[in-house]
Amino acid sequence: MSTWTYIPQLLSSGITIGAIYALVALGFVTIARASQIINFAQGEFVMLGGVITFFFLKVMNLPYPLAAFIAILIVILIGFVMHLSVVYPLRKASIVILLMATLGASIFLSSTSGLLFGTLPKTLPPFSGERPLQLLGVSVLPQSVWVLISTLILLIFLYLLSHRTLLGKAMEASSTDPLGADLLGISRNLMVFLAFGVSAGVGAFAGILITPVFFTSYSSGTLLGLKGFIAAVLGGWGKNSGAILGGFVLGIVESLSLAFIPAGYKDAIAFGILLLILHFRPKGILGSPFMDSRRW
Amino acid sequence: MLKIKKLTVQYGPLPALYEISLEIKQGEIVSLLGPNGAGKTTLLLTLSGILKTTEGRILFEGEDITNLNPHQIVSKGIGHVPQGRHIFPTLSVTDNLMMGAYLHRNEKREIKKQLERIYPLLPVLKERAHQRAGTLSGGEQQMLSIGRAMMGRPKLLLLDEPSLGLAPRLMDEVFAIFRKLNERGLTLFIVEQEIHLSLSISGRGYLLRNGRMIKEGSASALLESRELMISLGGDDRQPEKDETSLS
Repeated sequence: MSTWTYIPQLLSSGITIGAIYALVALGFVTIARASQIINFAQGEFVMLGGVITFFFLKVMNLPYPLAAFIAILIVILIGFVMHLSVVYPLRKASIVILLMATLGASIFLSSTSGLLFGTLPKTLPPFSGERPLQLLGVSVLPQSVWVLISTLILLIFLYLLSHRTLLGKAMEASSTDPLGADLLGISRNLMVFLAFGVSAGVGAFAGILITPVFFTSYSSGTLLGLKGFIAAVLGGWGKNSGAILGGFVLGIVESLSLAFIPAGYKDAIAFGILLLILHFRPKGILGSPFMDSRRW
Repeated sequence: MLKIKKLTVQYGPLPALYEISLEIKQGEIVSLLGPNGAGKTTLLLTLSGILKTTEGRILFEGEDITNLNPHQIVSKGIGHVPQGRHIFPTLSVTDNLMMGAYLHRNEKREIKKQLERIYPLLPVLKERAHQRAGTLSGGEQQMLSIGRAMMGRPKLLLLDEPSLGLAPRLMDEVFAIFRKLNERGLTLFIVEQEIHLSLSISGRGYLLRNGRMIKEGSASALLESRELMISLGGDDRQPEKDETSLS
């Protein structure tokens, strides 16, 4: 069998992981737009989504959907608490200090998760069956279909939330012009608080979707978070559409690379892409409102 | 209506404002004049709660509003049209106006009424209702910024250099709108570089320099004052005989 016969297969798994990267990237962008902060704990939200669902499903024996729902709520709560305890007290500090603070929060969250839920890798059962479906000659795991459909639904939901509701528009207003918004009584701190909740929720959602495909453990958030960050930079830092595009591009490229190079180098591909994009087009594919194309 | 008592604002080693006192009465138009860097914008941002006071008190309608949060101050009835407009470029004109009514977001009928009051004054906001605000011209953006602040139904409107970047004809238009708003009972506090234009609609004015209030008085008295001429470059004076021209 030649290398090329694997391509459709790799493409389908690339789209699956791409959807997850897109969601993680979206989490980064949501917070960055509201506050300019790069939240390096974003990957931990994803990890916690999977781990907490595992806890409620396997330890507390709750039904799957309920366990997932509670996990998302808890992670949203963690996002709020992180804002109130870490970010809000440092609101007047420089971006570099905030960056380190989120990195600290990330280490705290992953270690705490290791202490509370154990360090062994965990997996969740697929949402429905494990028998691969045959689509156009490619065998696709049912979970991949779930990932893609759920991601699409979540994206539509987020789009409606930010473009059709007054609160979403207020968040948009506050992110494009914080002073203008403050002068109308739209509190910037409140909008950043909400952004942390939305981001945490999206992250947890991604974590629950991906855990049946890959294992999760207390330490798996870091790499996922970095991949999501790369996706966000690749697509155009600060743009929702860029995050989504960057996620899928990264997932697909990473997956296709398996046909040509040993699997051990897969993660290097993502970082290689990051270096290339930062060198040749720092504003990303779709352009970034936060960066111009100058190199520095 | 608004009383400022010995207000000091400091955000570096030196105070940006030093023991400022002023008073604005219901229904007045008051100008705040002064050269660049005098602290005019600082004063307005402090009134809106963006900057915090170091000392002194701010009273609005008899109530102490010193160091309240911006949203509390907006809800008391102080609107602010910031320098540089600060409209939301990615939102439509109507959505920008809705953001202005954010604190009253549940009073749908009142919002509609307020829109109907604003549209005749600023017709361009109705014509361009669905356009993205970022695509408006500078003058239109200024109208939007004013309309947006009006959506909060303020009793006192703070205007920070509303003429900045406008063609002279547009300046006149904007100031004519201010006069109409005032006739409807709105109190205005205007920071301006266009002294003559601003004083032409004001009853009184204050002159700020290096963070200190150096002069106050009626518009006509201020226009003739030596302090105003000196602080703004004194271009109306004839050169003394022994003064040689720099060129």
